[in-house]
Amino acid sequence: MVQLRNRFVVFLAAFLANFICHAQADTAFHTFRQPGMTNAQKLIASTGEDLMSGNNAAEAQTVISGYGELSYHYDTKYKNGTASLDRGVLFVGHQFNSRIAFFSELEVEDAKIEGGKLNGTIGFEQLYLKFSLNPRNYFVAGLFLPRIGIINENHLPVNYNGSERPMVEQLIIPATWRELGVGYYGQMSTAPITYSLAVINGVNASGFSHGKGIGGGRGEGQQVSVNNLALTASIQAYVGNFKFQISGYAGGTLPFAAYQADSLKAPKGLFAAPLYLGEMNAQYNSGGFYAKILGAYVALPMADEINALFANNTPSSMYGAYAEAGYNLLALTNNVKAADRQLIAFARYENLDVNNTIPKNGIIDGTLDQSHIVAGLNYLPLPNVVIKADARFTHTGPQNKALFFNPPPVMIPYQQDNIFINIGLGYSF
Amino acid sequence: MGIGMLFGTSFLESCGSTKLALIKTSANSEGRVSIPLSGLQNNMVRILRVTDYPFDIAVKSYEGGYLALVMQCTHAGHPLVKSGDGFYCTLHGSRFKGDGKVQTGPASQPLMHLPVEIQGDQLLLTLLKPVY
Repeated sequence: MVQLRNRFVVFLAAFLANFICHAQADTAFHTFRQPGMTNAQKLIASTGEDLMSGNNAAEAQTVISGYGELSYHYDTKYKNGTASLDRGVLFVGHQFNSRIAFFSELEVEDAKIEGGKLNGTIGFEQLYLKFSLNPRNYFVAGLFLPRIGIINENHLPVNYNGSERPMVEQLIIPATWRELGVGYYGQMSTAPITYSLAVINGVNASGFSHGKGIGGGRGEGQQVSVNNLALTASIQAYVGNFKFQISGYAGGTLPFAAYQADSLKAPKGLFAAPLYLGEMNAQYNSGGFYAKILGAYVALPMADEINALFANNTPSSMYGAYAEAGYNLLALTNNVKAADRQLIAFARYENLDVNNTIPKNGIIDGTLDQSHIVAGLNYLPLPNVVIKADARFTHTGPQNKALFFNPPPVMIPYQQDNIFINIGLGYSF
Repeated sequence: MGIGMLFGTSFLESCGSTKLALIKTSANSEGRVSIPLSGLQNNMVRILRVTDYPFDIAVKSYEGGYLALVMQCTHAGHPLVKSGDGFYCTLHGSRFKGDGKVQTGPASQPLMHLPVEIQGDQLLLTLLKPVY
């Protein structure tokens, strides 16, 4: 134990020495205002805000950018159309020096929030400080998105196909999934392999709700309990035009202090009533063609305890997988003027079950066993703007009438097969 | 490009060697770095790691000359990973082609090119201060 502590002290001392010695080391290089800065970046970088960060105006710089998306959905079976400004996100980053930076993403969902209304949220999607050891290794501390799945980290609308994010990465991996904590990100020195490890607050099982997976348990930085914690890790390998990733998550789901757990006769500890998530994905990208495949599995071995405490019909396990392929049709032309434009035809197949297995005190819901086929077009007149049109063909299992405690006298029959028509707009800069 | 090409030659070629051709070096007092031209054959990308320079630099022969690209995303200043023929940003998903041009946003500007000149059998790079 003493040996372990000594090793930790030596590591910490080496880290701090490295950090301090290099903090001002890049001043010998030629100052160069990159012509590629956006107008917004030039504006911010030349304001007095830089001067407020100390006597290092030539060093510190602020960046502003953002993204947003809106969508229209039409349910062909129920003949019901909806449209929403799904989200607008303002990104602000500040580089204090070559080693320390700040990043934030402030998001408004569904256009507005209004007193007394349920719709609309405003919140930080990310807010963290980044401490770089060198070009390939850094720590983050604050509210950040762990590297789990594809969409959680890379969720900009120009970077995924379809007006909706993949259902697997909404219901099985609840993107965007942000928590408070500390993370380490690194890249191997001699090979394109990256890795990450993070300690974050655990999810809160009282927020789980039937049919929506674990998404309601996310803390999102708002007065979260740290009576339960989670560990998450990932490894990525870039092999030619392939990118492979494996990631995992393990954490407790009960936010109780020991005395609260005792009074409720609930499991206690940092990893009480654990949640385990494993995910693998592979992507290929070359010459206008790309493909991706992802699989994820979630296990809650003490789901019965969660149901006994919160009566939210938590499953013991969930799974989801999807495969997608697409091709930029404009890559077939050799038109130089169209080099920045893309017209991507794509198709995606998804299969998921949000209640793959249930505990003894759970109730099965066949509608959560789903498959989706999505096909459509994405047009990008430039890499930062996208117009989307697609159709989603959905098939689910049957409804379980045991889930209706007070069924209304007249109910529209549930449709196991349905088609949704979707149109979307998105941007990022 | 036909389906045969997609799943044939280019598909298999993309599984080629992935080890980074890494060169570690230091800049002189004028902020310049020289590397031997003999190490830049076969159109292979060399990754230059300069002491105290905050980003790696990708160097390769290109259209009869040479390119030196700072591996820093022009969107939010994040370090890039070499991916296939180009570069990838893990932070927001921007992709850059091998010549530094944007392939996928949110980045909208190409990678920073460092000035290069040939002196004898050496390629001389002038390091520029990165913009975040």
